[in-house]
Amino acid sequence: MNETNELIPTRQSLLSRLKDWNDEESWRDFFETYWKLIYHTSIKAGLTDAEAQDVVQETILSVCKSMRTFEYDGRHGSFKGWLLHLTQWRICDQLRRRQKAIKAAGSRETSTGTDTVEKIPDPAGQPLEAAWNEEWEKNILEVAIERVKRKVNPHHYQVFDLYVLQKWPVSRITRALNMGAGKIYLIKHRIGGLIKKEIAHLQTKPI
Amino acid sequence: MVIRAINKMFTNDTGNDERTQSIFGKIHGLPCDGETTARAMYEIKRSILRKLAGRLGKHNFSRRASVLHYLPESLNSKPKTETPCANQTIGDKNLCSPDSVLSPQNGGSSFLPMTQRQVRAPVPAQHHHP
Repeated sequence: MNETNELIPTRQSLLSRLKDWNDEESWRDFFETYWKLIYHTSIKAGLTDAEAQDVVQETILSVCKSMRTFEYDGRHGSFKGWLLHLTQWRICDQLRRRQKAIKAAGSRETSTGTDTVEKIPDPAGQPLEAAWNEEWEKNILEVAIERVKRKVNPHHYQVFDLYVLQKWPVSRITRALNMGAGKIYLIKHRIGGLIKKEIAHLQTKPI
Repeated sequence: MVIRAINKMFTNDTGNDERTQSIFGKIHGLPCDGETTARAMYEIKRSILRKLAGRLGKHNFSRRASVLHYLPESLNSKPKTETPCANQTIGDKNLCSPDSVLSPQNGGSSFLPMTQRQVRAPVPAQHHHP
């Protein structure tokens, strides 16, 4: 994400809504929007599936805990940066926990001859921020597609999926779905437009 | 409540991918985007929600509150790793004794966190009269 986007005060309104624990819809939005981002970043940082799941839990709980007293100030950084820091700390906690467990087990030499402790990725040495930025972009696209998918006719979404995402040729789709090429182009245009709008919304406006 | 939102997600989980797959299957029997990945992610999400529900105390507000109470107070603080009830006793029972900590071995939930274990509700001490 570029510098300009980084400075956009993302989801300020969502953050204010999250202060209210009774606002179930906002919490659901928050979880649905960010869990994959946190999970994939943790995996990229070298955590296992179980550890990454723990990071998601811990990060969400940290957000819950700090939300009521959290005061958003866009001048001090974006929500994206704040969430990155929370995630980063939880990843470090997991790595520390893993290291302790290995030390407790005696740090025995493995069959490859490498000390197990040495195999643990060093969080400081990992380009975590780069991974986070990459995942952030992917996540926005995925969330946008997911939201549009829920809104549109499943049949139409399938046409879009086959044509745009799975890159089937139009002739194959017309045969498989018994549908004219014109309709396929129209659906692609309409759903593509909705996804673009959703992406713009996710980047600039609260949920 | 957050817990209600999480439980709703867990119990009536959107399962949107699965639902869409099912609809697609009924319409054309054709695959949708990354069905395997979507299913795998759906399972991971369910697992996280299940654990979160366990962490927040699915049925017990006070337990949830006690867990939240011991989460980091500020963004700069580290999560506490010690048992929250350190040195607390009720009657002759030390709440920090291994017996009072729920774990899969003693009938507790395996969804409970490793380092911030919840404490089983104290059992009133039995008084033996001579």
